[in-house]
Amino acid sequence: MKKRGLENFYERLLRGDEAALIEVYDLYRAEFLNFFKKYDINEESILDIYQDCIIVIYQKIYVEHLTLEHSSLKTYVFGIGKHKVYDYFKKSQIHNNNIKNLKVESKNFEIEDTPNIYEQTLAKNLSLISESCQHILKLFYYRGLSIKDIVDQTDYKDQNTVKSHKSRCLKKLKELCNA
Amino acid sequence: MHKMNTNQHIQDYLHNRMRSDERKDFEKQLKEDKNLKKEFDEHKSVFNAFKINEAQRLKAKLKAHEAQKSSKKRFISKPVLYSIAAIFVVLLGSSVYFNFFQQDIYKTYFEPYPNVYQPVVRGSSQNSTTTFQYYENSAYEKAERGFKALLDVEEDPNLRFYYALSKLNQDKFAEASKEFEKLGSVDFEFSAEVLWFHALAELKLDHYEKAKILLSTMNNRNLSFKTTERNEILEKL
Repeated sequence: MKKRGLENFYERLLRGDEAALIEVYDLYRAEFLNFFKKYDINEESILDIYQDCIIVIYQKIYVEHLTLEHSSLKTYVFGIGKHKVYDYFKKSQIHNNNIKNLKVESKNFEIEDTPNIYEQTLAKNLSLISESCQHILKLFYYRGLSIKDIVDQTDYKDQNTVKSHKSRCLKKLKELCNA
Repeated sequence: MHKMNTNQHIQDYLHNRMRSDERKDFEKQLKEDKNLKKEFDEHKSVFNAFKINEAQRLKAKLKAHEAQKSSKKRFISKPVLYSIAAIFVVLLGSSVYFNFFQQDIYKTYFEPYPNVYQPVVRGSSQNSTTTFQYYENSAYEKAERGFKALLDVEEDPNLRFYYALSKLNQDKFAEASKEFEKLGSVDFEFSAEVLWFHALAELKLDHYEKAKILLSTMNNRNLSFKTTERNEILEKL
């Protein structure tokens, strides 16, 4: 029953169900905080790291269609957690004897590099383009829908309209970044 | 590679819709084809930009959820709870008292100021006449818009005074106060009235000290307008 429930979480996250994100957050929260207590990190920082982990996993499943063939959702949460805690010590330059173990354990759960300046500029400027532009670019780039899928899921009349609108929106976004 | 196929391949790669052999092939192509690499990097940048924004949105959502959880869970011991309850009762009592107090003063002393500036007669400027007609007929919202339009053309303290009164009559106390503030340093026909109505607006905003200063200014200047009333209020304050 429990296994079925967890499979259900994965499927719900895959559909982008944000209520499932909250449920998963509540499910592993206490255990996660308890586990990382031994690394002498204050609770506020662990909580912050935990929130980031849950978001990474949500995006990995919903956007990047991560499959959990070799590990459970919980293993993945803790794996990403170890990685992030290791980064936390590295960035804050706090010495901790246990962090070497963390690095070894977390090598299978590597996460992306920090976004570069151009990506951060793009992110900031996304809010400056029209809502219809944000919507179409989000469907194409973030959700990875094909032009045909976008026509099927929206009110655009055909693929050419989607293509030209998408191009105009991308051009506008780039102009804002170069301004 | 055809443009459409390129986009699709990039999407399939970023969204993990490729088999492992297809991924390896694609990665090989990325190393060999500079144009493809350029297009891929551009696509990935927009992809990552959305990830950044969505992550921020989700983080705010989780923080709000966390705050809600901790406020529900917070344990308060009985003695502390009683102390908080006692403080709450005192505060509630005082705020209710002040609320009644300031409402009472405002209700007792506020009355709409008549149009004594421009009698509504033929020959006046059409727009100005219509606006004062609205004011006289208590159509304060229309009067406010009319005075605003007139002030946009030309600054006139008299019109601004009635503009502020139009707001005050609609219970827009903060906005009215702002307009009266602008007239505070202007010496004109309605200077005494400005101080009076400004003080009433400040009372409604719970700015008792400010109200006291304004009413005292009327006394210091020996203004004859509302002498009895302002001294009554000053005594209560």
